[in-house]
Amino acid sequence: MAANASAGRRATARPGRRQGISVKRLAAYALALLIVSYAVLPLYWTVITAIRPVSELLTIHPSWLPSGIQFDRFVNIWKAIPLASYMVNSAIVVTITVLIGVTVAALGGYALSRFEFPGNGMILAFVLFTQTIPTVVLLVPFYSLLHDAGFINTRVALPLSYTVWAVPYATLILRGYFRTAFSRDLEDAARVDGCSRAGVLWRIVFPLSLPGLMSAAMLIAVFAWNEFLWASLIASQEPIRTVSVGLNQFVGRFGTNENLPLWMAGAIFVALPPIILYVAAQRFVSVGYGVTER
Amino acid sequence: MSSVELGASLDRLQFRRSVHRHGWPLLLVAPVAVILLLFMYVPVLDAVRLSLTNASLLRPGSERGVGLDNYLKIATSPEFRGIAGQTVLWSVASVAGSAVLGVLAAVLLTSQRRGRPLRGRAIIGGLILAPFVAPPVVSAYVWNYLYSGSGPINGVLASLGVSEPVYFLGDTVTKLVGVALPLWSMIQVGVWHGFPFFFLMTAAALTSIPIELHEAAAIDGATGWRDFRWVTLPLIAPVLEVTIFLELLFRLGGLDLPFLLTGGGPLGATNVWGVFIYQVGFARLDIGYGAALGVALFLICTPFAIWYVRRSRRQLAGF
Repeated sequence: MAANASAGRRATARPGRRQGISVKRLAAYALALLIVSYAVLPLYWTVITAIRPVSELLTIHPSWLPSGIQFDRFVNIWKAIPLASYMVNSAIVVTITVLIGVTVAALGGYALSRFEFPGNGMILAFVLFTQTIPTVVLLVPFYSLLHDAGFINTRVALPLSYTVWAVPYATLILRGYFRTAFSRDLEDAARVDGCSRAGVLWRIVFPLSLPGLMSAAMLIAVFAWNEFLWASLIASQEPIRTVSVGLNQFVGRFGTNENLPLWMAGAIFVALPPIILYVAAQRFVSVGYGVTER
Repeated sequence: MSSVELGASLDRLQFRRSVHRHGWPLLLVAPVAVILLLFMYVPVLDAVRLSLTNASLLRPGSERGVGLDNYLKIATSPEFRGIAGQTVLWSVASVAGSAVLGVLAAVLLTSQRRGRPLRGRAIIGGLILAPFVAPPVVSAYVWNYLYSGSGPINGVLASLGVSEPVYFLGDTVTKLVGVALPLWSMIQVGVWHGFPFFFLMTAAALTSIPIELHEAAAIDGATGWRDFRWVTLPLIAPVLEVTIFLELLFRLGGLDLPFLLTGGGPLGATNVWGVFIYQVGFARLDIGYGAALGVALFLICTPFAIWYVRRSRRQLAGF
């Protein structure tokens, strides 16, 4: 830290590009490396456990570098559990949740951001307030609701619950996005040119809001893909089981050392879609919070 | 056409236009309103109703009112008092840790913009987000493994000369600042899981600070820590506040991570409110008591919620 400060003073004394590799810069790199290592440590351990020989797992304190590499687990896991079917189930839930959730939230967010209408402020307050209802409060009444409707362990249960939980959050995100992303003059101009109200939404607002919509879609998708507890309560049956529940079931069944690499291989396949999505499209995420536009 | 008739027809026209104008946004907002009403507010009211009964999944349909008995049970239960304290510590400590680490990471990766950008920022940013998006099922299980007596962390400790393995998630005897080791270990996982979100939000806010502000501060002699304290921090404070708030609520009411990591054990040393509601409602099937616990949690969150609604309507564009 002291080195940091002195390097900082030097930089201000001599403004311009000529810093070379300063102490400050080196310290920044070292600290960044440390934080990144901390972030990826468990993932690193997942990967090396998935590829290391079984013999190493039976030793106490397995080494940080595997002595050999085996890839057969990445093939065998698909035969050991119906992972493909879990993935399809999760993908179905994610797709339905994202499509319905983003559509509903986009329409609502657009109305709340653009129009003065009776009840505008109240509806917005109601949406905001849902953010502060802890999910766990809803578990019991929501369970009895789905139970009475006969939805437990059907394909309706999960997309319905996830949509309900995602809609207020996504509405707020998109309302913020519509308010700041582009001027409403464009919409007015389109109206003057004879575009219908629905046409304005479809031809102007949504195409211009793709980053915001993308951001909301990503947040909803990752939430729906990862969620575990609720899915284990209301959709635990094999034919509709999602990845998180399936993977957890598998720990219980084969939670021994010999099967550890197999489980880790499965964990990698399950963790990969959200991670790839975020690495590839991370710039959209913060856009959604209206943070960059301030 | 007389001016009166003209006025009347203009009135009619304005009325029709007003219906037309308000009809469209009301139509657009209707699905959100209906979903919230039917699936959020009605269930919350239902939770209040259930909390005043002895409803149980063991004997469905035979519930009867028991007044405030369930709430009395909460107030007098010694089991619950420990859980409430642990919930507060778990939420506050893991959010505070996440905030500090997340802001540090964001400052580190964006402040370099003033000189040349740190190389590989996009990749670093992507990797830092991994804990935030990895499925809790995977994170919890792998942390369990890392923490275990024969796991790699104990391997490092052993090579440093620690003779006995440390049972991070099992040792309820060792206490740090009066709190059992497993809770601290769980808080550490909470920090790990939460800091990327702070990184994400802060990094975006940081890049929106005009560089001239930092330059002006530097001319006035404020660099390093003082630049951060008096220039950066006030400008990211609104974003930080909302993020802290959202994360805090998420910890108070969330349960995926604690549930998967320890399930509240050993001996309740890591049990938190959310997991307890699950245990009461779905393991003991005591829905009335579970609902009362949920409503109590909601009531505790309400003052913060009102503060948040007021603040975000005034301050932030995004929320």
